[in-house]
Amino acid sequence: MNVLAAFENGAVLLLLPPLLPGIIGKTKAVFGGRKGPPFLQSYHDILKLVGKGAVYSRTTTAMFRLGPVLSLAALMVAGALVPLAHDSPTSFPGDALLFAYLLGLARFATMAAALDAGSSFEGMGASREAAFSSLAEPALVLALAALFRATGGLSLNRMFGGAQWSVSGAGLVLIGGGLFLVLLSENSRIPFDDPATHLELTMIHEVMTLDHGGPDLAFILYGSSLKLLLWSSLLVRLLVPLPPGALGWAVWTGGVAALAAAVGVVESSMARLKMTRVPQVLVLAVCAAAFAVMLALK
Amino acid sequence: MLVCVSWLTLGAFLSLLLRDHPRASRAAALICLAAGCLTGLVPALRVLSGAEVAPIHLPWSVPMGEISLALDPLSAFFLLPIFLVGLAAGVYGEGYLVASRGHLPTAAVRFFYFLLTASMSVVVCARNAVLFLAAWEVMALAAFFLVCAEDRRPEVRRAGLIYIVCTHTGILCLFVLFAVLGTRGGSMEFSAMSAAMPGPGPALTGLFALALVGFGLKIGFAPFHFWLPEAHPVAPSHASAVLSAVVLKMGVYGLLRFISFCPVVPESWGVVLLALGAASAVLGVLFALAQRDLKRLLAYSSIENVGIITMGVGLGCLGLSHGRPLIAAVGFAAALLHVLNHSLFKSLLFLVAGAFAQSLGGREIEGAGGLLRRMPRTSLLMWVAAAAACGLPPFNGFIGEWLLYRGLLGGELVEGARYAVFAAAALALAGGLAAACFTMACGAMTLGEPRGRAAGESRDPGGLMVWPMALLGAACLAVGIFPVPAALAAVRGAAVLGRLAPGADLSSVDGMLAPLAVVGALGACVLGLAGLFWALRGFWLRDRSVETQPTWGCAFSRPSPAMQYTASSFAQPLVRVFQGLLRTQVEAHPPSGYWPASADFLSRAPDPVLDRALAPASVVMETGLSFIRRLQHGRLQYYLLYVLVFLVLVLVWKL
Repeated sequence: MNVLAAFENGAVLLLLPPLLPGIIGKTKAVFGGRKGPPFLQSYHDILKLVGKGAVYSRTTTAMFRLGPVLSLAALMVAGALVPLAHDSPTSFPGDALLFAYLLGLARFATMAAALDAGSSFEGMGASREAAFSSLAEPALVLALAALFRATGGLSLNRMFGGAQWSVSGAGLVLIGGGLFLVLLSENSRIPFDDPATHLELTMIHEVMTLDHGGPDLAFILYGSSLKLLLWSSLLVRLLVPLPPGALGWAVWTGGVAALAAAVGVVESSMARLKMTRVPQVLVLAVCAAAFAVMLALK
Repeated sequence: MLVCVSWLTLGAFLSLLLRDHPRASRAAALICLAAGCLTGLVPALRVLSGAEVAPIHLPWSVPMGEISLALDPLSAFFLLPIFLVGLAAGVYGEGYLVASRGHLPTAAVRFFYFLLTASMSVVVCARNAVLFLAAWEVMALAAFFLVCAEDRRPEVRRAGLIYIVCTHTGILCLFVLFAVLGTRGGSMEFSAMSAAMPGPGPALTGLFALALVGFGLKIGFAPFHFWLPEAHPVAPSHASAVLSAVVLKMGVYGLLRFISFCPVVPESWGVVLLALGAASAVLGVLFALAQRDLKRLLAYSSIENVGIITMGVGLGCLGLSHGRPLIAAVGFAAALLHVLNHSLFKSLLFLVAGAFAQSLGGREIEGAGGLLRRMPRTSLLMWVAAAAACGLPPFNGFIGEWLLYRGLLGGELVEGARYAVFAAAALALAGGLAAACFTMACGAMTLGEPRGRAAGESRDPGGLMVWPMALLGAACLAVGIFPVPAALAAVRGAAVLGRLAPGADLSSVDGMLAPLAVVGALGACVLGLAGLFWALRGFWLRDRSVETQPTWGCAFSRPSPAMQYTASSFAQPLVRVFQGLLRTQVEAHPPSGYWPASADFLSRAPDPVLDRALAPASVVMETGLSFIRRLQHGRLQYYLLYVLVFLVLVLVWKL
């Protein structure tokens, strides 16, 4: 791993994430027959928020201010483990588990900050987030187990990118499907959560950040788009073999953009599920991953 | 080693002798505790860094007994939690006893606390079964008297009864186990046990079953967990900390020692342990989620964690039975690491729970709220321990779990025991549920607005209580960021069981541990980056308007603390998903009519083993065996008659 590649990965991680919500928004606008916000809308939003002051609830303590900061820090370190078009420079055997638990830390910090406001809305969001993410966790670990069997590596670099369609195609379909569901749930997307809804009672992720504003909200927005990028990168590398060099970046960027568009298509073509249905869909993801493990074990 | 035990025994008796002089006895207790624990830690650390300590053999008048003590890395590793937690919880206990203002029998609590610590250190060093069992019984009884410290309250007496029945059922199994091994080998020395082990067959399975029940009742994995949530909450908090964080681990030690006797380990043992561990991990945390009493919640969370430890032991057994010393070493090392880590964060959580209970006057989660503002130090430490308990980096809980995942997912078991992968899914589910459980408990207690007057007026406890907690919190972070020394020590301890070839295999385990240094460094990076963003945020906001306003409540103008999300509502989605397992009972009177006057809601999660199986069974047993009671009616003359009849019978038999 040379310095230039690590630099390219780092630059992409820092600059690209806010583009993905833009692509999703555009896709939804096309489906809805609207013009929609520009691709770069999220960049504008984040920059505008960074320039603002802040309003805090009287109930809150330092926990409320620490939440977005700690969450973004955890996501950034998780990002350092994820391979993009180039392999991650800080990879080691077993980093996949650190990745999963760093996402857990980010979620933990967000939930703590949400509960700090003492609002029922935010408590409800944190409760749902905790419930659904704990069901998504086994799906991720089983998918990792299956990928380990298919590729023989325990690092994200080798697990995502080493599997071949000709050898383990059926397993890849199951893992890809399962992880796509986990991606939608982890990134608070339809059918699990509706980021565009305007009623607090029906939100999960958005409701946890109701009382945040200014730079804190900028951290949160950037963090959630970063998380989407990380998951997309993993899924793209899983499903598409990347050629080396500049072509690799082109294929990777195309793949990530296509995935964002796919999320947009899902969002435009179906409604959010009833909250009681969500665990069932997550169990479906767990089952898909479990079947992939069985295929890999045979 | 002897010096340390004698310091602790001295402390025990001094605390009885000086019971009328509170200050002198407190000073004596603190000195004896510090001297005992610190002198005990020295040989433990020396053995773990590779040195040898000469064993001690002294004659003992008990038949077949000998005072034979030795320190190998396995014993030394278990001494770490005993003395670290023993010291921190003991110092905290002094503050706790002062703050409890006479609710607790001070001298007795101190005496049994010293006795408990001393007996545990003998348990792990004993090399003679008679000595081991004697120390085990002293430990069990000292723990019993600590559980029953507030014996005026009926629920304490009930808990004490359940505890003593369980612990004696366990020790009965151990008596049989060691009696069989002792008679087969002709000696009660541990060194003779290995030769006394029968080959694979029903006899070996029987011995394993005895060990599983005997030690399992102490470890507290399902289905032997039921006494834990009864006994641990009612003890004084520093005693609960030691009970939950260290005493359970003595069972783990016993099980590991038993496995080290076995020349052959059948595969079925590993499967049984892995399955029991996975079941305890998931069920423990699920039931924790349904609890409303903080210490009861922590006790259920201990069941989760001993489940994780048992999974590690099971993985180690699988490695042994498949002849893969590397995977055995990783499994046992993961179990040992989690033993240490759990003892650090769980004792901290119990100490925090004690501080909360003292200032709130109760252990209910729902009555608290907003404590981070009123008890900032204690609450902050609770969050640290909670993050560690959820296995989140950069804290210590993650290290052991990482090693366990590494062993479960890793390729070394490819053939034969491939189902071990599914245990990893159980571990992941338990991790996710633990995050839900601890955000619920910490969130409801320390964040938001206080839900009662006691919560609004609470203050941090004094230095004697805060400093030991801070020490434990710092240890959680230190092991999380510098995990390699702890992991190496655990590998040394595991090598006692793993039958590793000292040179080659240990170095390949070291290779497996190398990533832990990176894990620790990346954990430090998270903290560093968070600090950077915090500074950035402060820089951006430095001369802009920062206002405070009420929390957004959809423009509702009269918010009250009672409108906050409660712990029960937080847990509701998960409780409903797992209703089939939990079977919570709800008594609710929802508001009705246009002007509802009152409403209430009560949910309870009865323990499936204790309340649904054992309690009915013991009622049946009581009625079934009531005819025996006719023999015991309290009339002295009949008792004398029994003695006479017995003597005559013996005389007749001997003639």
